[in-house]
Amino acid sequence: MSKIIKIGATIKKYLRYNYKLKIGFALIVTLVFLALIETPINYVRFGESDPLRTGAFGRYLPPSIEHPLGTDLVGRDMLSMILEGLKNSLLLGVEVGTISMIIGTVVAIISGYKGGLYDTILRTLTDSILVLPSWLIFVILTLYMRLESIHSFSLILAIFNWPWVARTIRAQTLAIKKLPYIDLAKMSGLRDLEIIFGEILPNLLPYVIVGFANALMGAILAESGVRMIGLGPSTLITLGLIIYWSMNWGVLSLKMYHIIVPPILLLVTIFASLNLLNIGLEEQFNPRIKKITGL
Amino acid sequence: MVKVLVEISKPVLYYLVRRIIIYVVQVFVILTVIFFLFRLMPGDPLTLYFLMMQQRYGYVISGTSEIIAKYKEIFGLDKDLFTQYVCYMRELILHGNLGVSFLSFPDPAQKLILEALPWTIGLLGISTIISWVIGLIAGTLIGWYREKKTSTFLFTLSLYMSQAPYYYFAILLVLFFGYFLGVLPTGYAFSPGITPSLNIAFLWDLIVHGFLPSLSIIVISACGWIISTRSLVILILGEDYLAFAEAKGLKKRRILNRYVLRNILLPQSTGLGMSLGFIFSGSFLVEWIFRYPGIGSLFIKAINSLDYNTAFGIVIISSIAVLTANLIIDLIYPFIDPRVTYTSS
Repeated sequence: MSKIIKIGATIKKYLRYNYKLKIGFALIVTLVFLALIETPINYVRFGESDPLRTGAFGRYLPPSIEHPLGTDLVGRDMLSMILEGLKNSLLLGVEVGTISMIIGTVVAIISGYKGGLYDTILRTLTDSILVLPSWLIFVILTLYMRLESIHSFSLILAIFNWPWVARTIRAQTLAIKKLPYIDLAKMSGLRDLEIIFGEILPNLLPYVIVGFANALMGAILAESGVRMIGLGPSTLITLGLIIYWSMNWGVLSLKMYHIIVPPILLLVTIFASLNLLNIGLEEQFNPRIKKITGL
Repeated sequence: MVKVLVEISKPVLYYLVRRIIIYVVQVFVILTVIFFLFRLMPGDPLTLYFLMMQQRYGYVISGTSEIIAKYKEIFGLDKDLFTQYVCYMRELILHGNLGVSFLSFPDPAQKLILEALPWTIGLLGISTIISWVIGLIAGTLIGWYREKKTSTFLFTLSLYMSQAPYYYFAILLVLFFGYFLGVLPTGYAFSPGITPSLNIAFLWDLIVHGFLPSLSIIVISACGWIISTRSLVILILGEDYLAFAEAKGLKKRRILNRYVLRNILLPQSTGLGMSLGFIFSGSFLVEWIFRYPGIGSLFIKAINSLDYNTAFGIVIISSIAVLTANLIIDLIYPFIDPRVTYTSS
């Protein structure tokens, strides 16, 4: 319990002066909150019936009190579609981010800390996956494997994403290994694992979070890219799918801006907030930049 | 020529030769990995293709399984995996033959790809270089004059726009310039009815048609370069030699040109190599939106008509292109940066 309070106090201390971090953090928290309240809001508005089944309401209804964002071509309520899309996109991003963060950090720490043969093998593996054109392979896999569930998507995206995380963290591990207190810890007889968890990992934490945010953005981008071609399961509603559908229905010539503007706005907000978080974290924790910007 | 050879010292030569050997090994390993990745995938391209044709064109042929078996025998897909691998590699390396494309039947896939490749290289090459130059110059200025309001405004703008996918911006540009204003064409590489020849009218037509696709790539890439260059400039500003130069009394402009810019160019050049792969995959949808006849549109057309050989060939060619670009940058690096040592590590 006291650890949670300590973490909260640390976050608050870092957030107080750094505006970029504050705004980025606030935006991300708002988006996650919106995604989490989707089921209660649906229950409150519609009771037990599913607002996402085809033909639930009339077609192309204009925005009103009952449907704040109107309905679409086949009669689904747009607000619940957009909230469901936000939830699925964020869920996909979080899964990809977590898996690639764990795999990437483990590989990078082993490769950076142990060095030698482990380093050579793991670095060759990382570089080889980095070179592959991952989006193309992802498109072909989606086409031929007929992926249905969100977990298979996240697994494949994470396989292509972890080398990016591993690359940054390995560079950081090498830099931290040269610091004097690592030698001090070795001389005082700490075992390898204790050094990794006690000394190296806390210094890596900002970079791990940056890696997580980048993996999230990359996953959402790759998935919307695949949607734009028309591939992917149509039972899994994500923001990219809503944008593809609205472009296909020609909503811009129908002047139905309430259908296409919210998902694009949400996507841009996700990207902007994660970018702000990344830049804010780097300004806060990179000591040379911190000296210049004076935070 | 002899002078150049004499000036290259022995460690550099060993480094270059080793790098080229690593490149050949990498190309081979990547080809093998992609080949086995796709052959081991569940789902059979030929069966899917027949099913798609039946669904789309509405008639059912009896005896489909015999037809599929016959085609498998023709394409060599019924032998075991290792024989398939050897045959494919032999065709690829010795003859440059990527297989027959389903999309345009008698034409082999490499004919389609080689027709589309120059368009993509032109578009991407020009866009990448222009965005790199603009991003570097703007990023240096933004980092150097950090206190001014314009710098903060431009930096925040780049922050928001740098992670947007290229195709979102492309859609906005097409809407604004193509439909609302109507001044720029919305698709294809040159207008129908103009014969391609090397005169000014055709070249101007090419430029006008290529303006919007390259603009969407240039603006978004430049924002990314601005952000990384600004961080680099801020890092360099803390160095001691800059304080010494200022104490010596050098003018600010001279410090900027001689000390800061040179130190920025090196990491950003290697970054250029790494970003080529990223721009490649991002530009496919831009080409599709503008119907620009490059590799991107070809890939998406092949995907939509389930043309396995062409899609596979494009994956192979883009991997080789990224590897080659990185090789070229690694080869030029010793001539740019005199500080790097080339001991075997």
